[in-house]
Amino acid sequence: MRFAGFPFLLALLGLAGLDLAGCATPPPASQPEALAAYRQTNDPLEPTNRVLYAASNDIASVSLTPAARAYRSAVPQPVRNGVSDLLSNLGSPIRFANDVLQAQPRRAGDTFMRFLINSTIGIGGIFDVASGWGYPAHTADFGMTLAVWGVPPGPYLFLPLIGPSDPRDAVGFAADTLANPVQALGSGPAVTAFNWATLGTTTISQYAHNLPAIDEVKRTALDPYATFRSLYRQYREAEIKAAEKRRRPTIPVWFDLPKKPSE
Amino acid sequence: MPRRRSLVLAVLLLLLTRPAQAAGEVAEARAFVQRTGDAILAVINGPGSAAEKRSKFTRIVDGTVDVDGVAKFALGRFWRVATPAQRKTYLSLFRQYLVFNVTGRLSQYKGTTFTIGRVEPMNGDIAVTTTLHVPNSSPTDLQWIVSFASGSPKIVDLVAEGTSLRVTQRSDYASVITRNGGQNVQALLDAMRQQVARLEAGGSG
Repeated sequence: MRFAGFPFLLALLGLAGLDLAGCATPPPASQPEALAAYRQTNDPLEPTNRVLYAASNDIASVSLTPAARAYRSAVPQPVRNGVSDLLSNLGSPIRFANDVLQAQPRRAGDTFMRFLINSTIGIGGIFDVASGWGYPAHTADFGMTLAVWGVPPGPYLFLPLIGPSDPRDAVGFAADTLANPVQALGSGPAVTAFNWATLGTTTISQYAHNLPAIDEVKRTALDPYATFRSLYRQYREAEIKAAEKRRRPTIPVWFDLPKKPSE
Repeated sequence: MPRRRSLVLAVLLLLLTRPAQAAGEVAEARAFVQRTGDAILAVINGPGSAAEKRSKFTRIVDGTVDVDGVAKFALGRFWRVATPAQRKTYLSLFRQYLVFNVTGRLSQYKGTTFTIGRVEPMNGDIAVTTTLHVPNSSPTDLQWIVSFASGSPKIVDLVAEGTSLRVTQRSDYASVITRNGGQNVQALLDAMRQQVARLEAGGSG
């Protein structure tokens, strides 16, 4: 098994693309403002997406949500942080590759140093020592790389198990998963077990981390679907903007510089 | 000629005072966020029942947030479609929503402290980045967008992890309105009324 989710994802993308019956009707040209808003929302598959969103919610409410709640109540916060840091450390090689592909030498250096420090002094990544040493964490994935290369996001997609996405991020997710260096170790049962274990733990850990925010949106939004769509778009845009910004100084914080007035 | 000279002088003055004014606003925005944050935390960590805390918090909101401005932004293009009566109802519902939404969560932030980081001009406003240290969770950054459009500093938006409160609110409202038949502001008001009642009943802690 390389990754069970990938063929499934492709099938789903095909499904979403073919399901023309599930397309939203754009407002007529006589309403230019409504039409502009429709284009900006860029969710032509909204009816299909909403069905998938509702189905995902139903499935999550009997599987992922109770599991994440149990995880939150059984495992204390410091341990959960350790698990999350460990998983994040496992993702370092992919992050490094994407930093390089984004032509971000400083960020690549950060990722490299983080991997080095946290894998050793941070005991395999359980403790994030590097952040305190001036190598802050950041995100980098192939969806962001494509964005930096100028690929537009495309229409909004809600994918079961994955959640809010778009064609750019879906392709990025698949590429990152396939490029995981663990795959290079071979295809024995140990690798398969490791992949499933990481996937399962990552899903629970991330979901448990996001659960309060998800509950909050469901509690306060009039239309949670539209709110999640907006939040996802804004969040990704901010991540990409942060990747494109080259303001971070090369010198780490522990290096004693002569005092200068801050910018 | 004198008219022309005075014009040049005016432009020069404008050029000279503009950055100075921005620098003044930066310092003022920082102090304003510090004051407001301290006041909010004093309510959260202070004594009093949930109802007392809510009324104290409402007073802070009224004094520091441009509630009507945020509300108008959140309604977007539908503000013009709304009748005067609808606008009035909307503004009042929005204010209640804002207060109930936040007061419902106040108790979660007990023991929180914050530090102010980068303060910078952003699209005509000042963005003040704070780091919240909530007990038992990792530090999170929260950006306060402070506007001086009215002369005195007012909060016009909050941005967490790149997501803006008023932009998100606008998407939510626009979706409710368009899904109920294009320009149906009344549908939004009905939904908001129910929501405010629900928040008031459920989230007083």
